[in-house]
Amino acid sequence: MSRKDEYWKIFITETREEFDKTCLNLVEFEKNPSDQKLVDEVFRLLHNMKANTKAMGLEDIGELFHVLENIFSQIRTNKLQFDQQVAQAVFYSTDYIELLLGKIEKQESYEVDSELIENLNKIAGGEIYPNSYFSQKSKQSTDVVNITDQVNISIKDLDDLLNMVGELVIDRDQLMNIASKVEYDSIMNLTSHLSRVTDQIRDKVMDVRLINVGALFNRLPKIIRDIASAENKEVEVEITGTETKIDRNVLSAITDSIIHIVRNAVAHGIENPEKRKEKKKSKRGNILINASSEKGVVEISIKDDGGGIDYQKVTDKAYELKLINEAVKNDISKRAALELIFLPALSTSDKVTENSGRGVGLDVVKTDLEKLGGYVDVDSKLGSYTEFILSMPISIAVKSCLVFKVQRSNFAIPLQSISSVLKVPSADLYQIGDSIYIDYLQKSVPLIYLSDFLYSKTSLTTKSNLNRKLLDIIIISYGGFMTGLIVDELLRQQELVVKPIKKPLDNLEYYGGITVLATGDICFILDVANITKTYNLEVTA
Amino acid sequence: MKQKKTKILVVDDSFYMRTIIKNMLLDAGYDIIGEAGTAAEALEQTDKLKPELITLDLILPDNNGTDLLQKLKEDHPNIQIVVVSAVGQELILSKAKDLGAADYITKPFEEEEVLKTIKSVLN
Repeated sequence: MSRKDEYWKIFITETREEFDKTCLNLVEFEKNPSDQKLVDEVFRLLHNMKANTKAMGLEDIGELFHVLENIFSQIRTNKLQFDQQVAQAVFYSTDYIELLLGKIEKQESYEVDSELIENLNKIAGGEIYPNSYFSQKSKQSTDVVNITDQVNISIKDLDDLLNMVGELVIDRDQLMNIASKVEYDSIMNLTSHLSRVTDQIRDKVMDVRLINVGALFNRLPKIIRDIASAENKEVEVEITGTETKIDRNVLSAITDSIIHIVRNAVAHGIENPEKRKEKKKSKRGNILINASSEKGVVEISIKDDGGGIDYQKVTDKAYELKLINEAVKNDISKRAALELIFLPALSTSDKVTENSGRGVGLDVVKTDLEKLGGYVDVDSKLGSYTEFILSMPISIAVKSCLVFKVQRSNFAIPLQSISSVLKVPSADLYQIGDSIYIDYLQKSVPLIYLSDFLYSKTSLTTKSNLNRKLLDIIIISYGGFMTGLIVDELLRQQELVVKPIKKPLDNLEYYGGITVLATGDICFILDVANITKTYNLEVTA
Repeated sequence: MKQKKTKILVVDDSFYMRTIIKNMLLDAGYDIIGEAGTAAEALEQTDKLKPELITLDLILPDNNGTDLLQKLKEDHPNIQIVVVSAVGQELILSKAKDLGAADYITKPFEEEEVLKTIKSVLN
């Protein structure tokens, strides 16, 4: 939203609020003409509306408020009585303003009756008796009430609504399933209509929860400015994609993370002007912040042209802290090394921050995103830049998932985390050490046999465990790691209403949520982040 | 070294007006350390945040006229106070100056005028 639009919105909301309050107070004041508080309040509100309409460039309506303010300035100093004549003039004026405000809110053109202002001026100046203008006008006046087009809904109500829609979708799916078995035309027609309407309700409820990421982004320049000023740095910030839509609760959940990364970028990423000069960089550091969305996923990127991350130092530190072994240390890719900065032990170490320029609190950023089913990725070049990319679903509740079976239970994985689904002969698998692999996109991708992993708590599978000829493998991708999951039976792709797992089951580490399928069966949503992490730690440790 | 930024508190009962003033001063490189919409908030924020300058609206829900200005000046004689008031309050303005207001700005204002006034008060 441009600043002008933002001002306009605030102006309209505030003026409407103040005007409604004024009208209420006037009615009260007519009943209690000795109540000084009421008249002071009316005066204050008129005074504000005058100043604000004039500041907005609405001079003529500002003039109308101005003369009303004058009248109340006289009344509060007892130079004028709020008698029937004055009340008639004032109430006629508020009706008139109500009409004007309606037009202003709709951004329609309007004109202020100069005769009205003239006659109000007469009243303010004391010459009122009798004022035929207002007695004439009041007779013609019809009461107009502009009920606003907008209603306020609390996020709590929207949460409740979304929960109920979730239940509705689950019941709908089950009903569809039953209807398809009954094969009774009228039931079939009815359920398919119910199905469409349910989808529409769900989409609508999800839509009204969406807000612009601008709600957060517009606050960043000030934050950046403050830190830059405290750190004696000069920083230019460029923000794009502010109109990207995102669920209000998702945005709220990532707010601290974004602020954290931005803070790090200024405090630890961007060098001070002297150092930048030495490095032949522009005196001012740059931070680019962008949001975009595609297929239900919002991506937010925060890139600074500062010192970058020294991934060698990060690796050394991780080794020193015994987070990786020597073999891993000597063989680690740049990408995997950068990933290390998200490890709690590293990201809370001040030393690493000083040395590598980054780190503090990034484990929290990562955990927060994972809770949403998103992830954070980092790219950096020592001496030139660091870029954090945060990826998250537009909305939390409904996810497109792939549903499959392992042994006799149902499981699902959000499509967002799936790179590919393969059917491969077991002969294509090969074993290195304790792990089995498959080649995918010219890479060795480690495989997890979910039947073993989920039921016997081991990821170590040998080829001999797999007695089927053709294997269904889901390739999941998380934080730069690809992992293949061997499943027993692929079922279908489906929109699922994912419910959080409640206590006391909330510590099940491989499960990110739960839902009920059309068949009435329970289905667990796998936590791709945790599975990837557990597996990769077991492999690398 | 960059110059230290002047810490400013914006007092106005209109959120719209505060937003305009705040953005204007932020853009000009001042440090807006707080906002207040009532006299009580203004006193509390001033004690807590120790601004160097206050832009002060005189008509607030719990203040009418110069009482707040007087109290602020008594408690914090070194804080510069710029009165921001709508037209039609000329009488109050001269009283405000007597009570120690550094200068005043009349609403509606031009951005340049505000910045010029604040700059000259700070010099």
